[in-house]
Amino acid sequence: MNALRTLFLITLLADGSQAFGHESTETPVQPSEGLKISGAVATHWRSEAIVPANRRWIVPGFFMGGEAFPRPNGFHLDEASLSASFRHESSFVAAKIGQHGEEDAKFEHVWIGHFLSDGLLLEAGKMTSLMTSQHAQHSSQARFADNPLMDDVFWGRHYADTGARLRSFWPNIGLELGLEIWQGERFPSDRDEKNQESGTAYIRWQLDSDAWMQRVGLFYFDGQAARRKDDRYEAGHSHGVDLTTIPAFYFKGDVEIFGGEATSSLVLGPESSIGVEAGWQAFRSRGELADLTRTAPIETDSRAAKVELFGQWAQHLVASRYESLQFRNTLKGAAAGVLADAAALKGGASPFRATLAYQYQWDEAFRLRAEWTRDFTTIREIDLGLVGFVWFQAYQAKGM
Amino acid sequence: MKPWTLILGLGWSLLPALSCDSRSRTSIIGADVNDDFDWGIPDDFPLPIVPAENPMSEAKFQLGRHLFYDTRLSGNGSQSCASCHQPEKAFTDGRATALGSTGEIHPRNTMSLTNVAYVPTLTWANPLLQKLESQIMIPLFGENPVEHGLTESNLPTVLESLNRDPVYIRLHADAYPFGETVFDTKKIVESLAVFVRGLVSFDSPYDRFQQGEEQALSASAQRGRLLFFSESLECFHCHGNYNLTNSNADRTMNTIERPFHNTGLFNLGGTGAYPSPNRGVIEVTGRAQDMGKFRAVSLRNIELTAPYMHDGSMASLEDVLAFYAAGGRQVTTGPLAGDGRRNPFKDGFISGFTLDESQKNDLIAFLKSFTDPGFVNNPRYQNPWDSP
Repeated sequence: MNALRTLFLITLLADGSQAFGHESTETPVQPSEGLKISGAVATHWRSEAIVPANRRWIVPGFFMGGEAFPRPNGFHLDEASLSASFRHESSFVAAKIGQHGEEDAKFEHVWIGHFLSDGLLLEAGKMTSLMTSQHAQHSSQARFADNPLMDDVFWGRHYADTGARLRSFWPNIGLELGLEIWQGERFPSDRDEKNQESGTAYIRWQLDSDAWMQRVGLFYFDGQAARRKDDRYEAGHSHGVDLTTIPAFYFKGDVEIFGGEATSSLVLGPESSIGVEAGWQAFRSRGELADLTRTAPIETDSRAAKVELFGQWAQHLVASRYESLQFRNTLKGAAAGVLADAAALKGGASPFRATLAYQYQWDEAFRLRAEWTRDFTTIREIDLGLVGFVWFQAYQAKGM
Repeated sequence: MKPWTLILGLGWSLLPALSCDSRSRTSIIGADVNDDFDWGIPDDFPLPIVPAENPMSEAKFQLGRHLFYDTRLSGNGSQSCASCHQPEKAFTDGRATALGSTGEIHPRNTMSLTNVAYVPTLTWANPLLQKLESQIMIPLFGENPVEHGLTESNLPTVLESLNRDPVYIRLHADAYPFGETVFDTKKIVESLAVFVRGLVSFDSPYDRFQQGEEQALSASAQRGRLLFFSESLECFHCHGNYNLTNSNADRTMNTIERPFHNTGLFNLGGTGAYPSPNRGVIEVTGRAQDMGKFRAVSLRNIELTAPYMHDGSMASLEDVLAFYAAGGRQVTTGPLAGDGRRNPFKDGFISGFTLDESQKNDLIAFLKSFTDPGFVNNPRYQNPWDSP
């Protein structure tokens, strides 16, 4: 809670222009001159947890990892973050401190950027990938309290690593090209001294008019896993899970993820708009699944898709989301069955989740949130209710 | 049509198809590396390792079953394998230490044959004894102590007796349809090995609970389960795995571990020594650090295999629990005096713990959930000579 108090204090002391609540705190495309500080808090009450407090969250059929922790029932601080950026002429530095749940606050991102020319930006440091717009979104900025299912399952909630990024902007036609290279230490990668870095390439096209906003993006990710295991509940993050009951298995091999997203929104009036957003990703891995004594070749071809519908008028935002996952795993050899059991890869049902969300913008900083979710990501289908609030505030000091 | 309505329509029409259950699957290819033998092992468990030179067959299993229960397979006609490996006691004998055909006392407790096919090292403390075919020779022909009491001089008589028996003539022909038509030691050993290798137990309440049948374990046993798998008691480190022992091998493994442990039963003179001839792995390796090391047995059917420990010195599960709670055994008087809790070779996991009476009862309830009545009563494993 110390981190939470600090965030409130710093942001409230920053008396200045307050940004609209939906503004992103991440990765300014072209950060404006001077200092910008923003803070965000998202806390929610949930009627039920996806899994009991002492069980790890596994979506059967998929490898899990990274920071994809289940949200507990009752009140929970989903996010508390403080972001800051400072730009002087063609260079900037940016950082974000975040706290999620029971974890201590930590520097999630620290990176620098330099415009090599008007349309060419080089960034380096610990940062979030921009291959999709989702990775940079946290609960405070999104239409839904929970991250997209495809991010939780394929990326361990979000992909942030240490690396470098080259972005090329073509504003006259709304095009952005990006190349990212990462150390490859974050799920679904796992690097040792023999492995290569991970890499991403993306292309994004955006066309805006007075009434329409259209955005389309494609990306490709290539990574390697030297000895990737589900380490979510290690290093002091047990979340009440009995660590001794977690099977010790790991994946070694290549990982590729290809995906796309599209958003279309229409302004209906001065304070109203409607839109649709869709995303699709394909996860492909080839390698070995192993434990201390067994090995089995494994091929994984998984898919994830989502569709969101949303409408906003005045202070009201209504959104619905439907998400679906598919998995196709093929394990070979005598150890295949045992290892598939250990890794919870067996199963025949495709997980899905449907969410209805409502947000009310109380004032510039506060939003109230209510959601209903039908979740079938574990072996049982459950209905979840959620209420909570989001606080977001930004301070911009220009011309420093 | 507006672009966004097109996207909306496409999205909602495609996604239900995506969520069709039949499209998600995990395929297991080549896992059923099986033989023609019907093991009776559930699909979720791996098959045991079988030596290539002695493949499993139902005919050999039945031949071995008859031999297993046949007292003619001893020097004086008084002892069969089943004399010490009785099915109702999960193939143990209920004695502290075994009794041979000539009355000699074996220095060690009879081991259960439950899932013995998965054991990577046979007997209590011999890292070199890795095949049933090798181990079976010891009780048949061993002289120190004498168990079955077969010798070079009485073996021809035994073989002749078997070769004249019409039951064995038929069973032998089925099991060995090619080659010599008479018994020899190799065939006896092979058949016995096939029979005991086929003694498998995977249907205890604990197994059913593991398969998702929540009611298979009582509330007390479920509380005991949490204790068993807790770091405070450490039980699972040596008795984990699907066979409830860390000494386990199956045909899915690349690497087979053969661990042994000193649990602090003795500490003669404060030197860490165990009394002869029960000093553990050191008797094979000669290495000082192997003093007092014995194999952690499977806890399957442990309720039925009392008394416990390699020397049968603990009469009940309550005694065993008290021993581990104390972190070893202190012998205050007599030639075995010494504080086993301070044995320098003691395993680090034997560190002691505290349980109240309720917790002890819970843990014992969990240990008893390893009992598989279907195993001990399985007609396939019973004495065939009793059948009409």
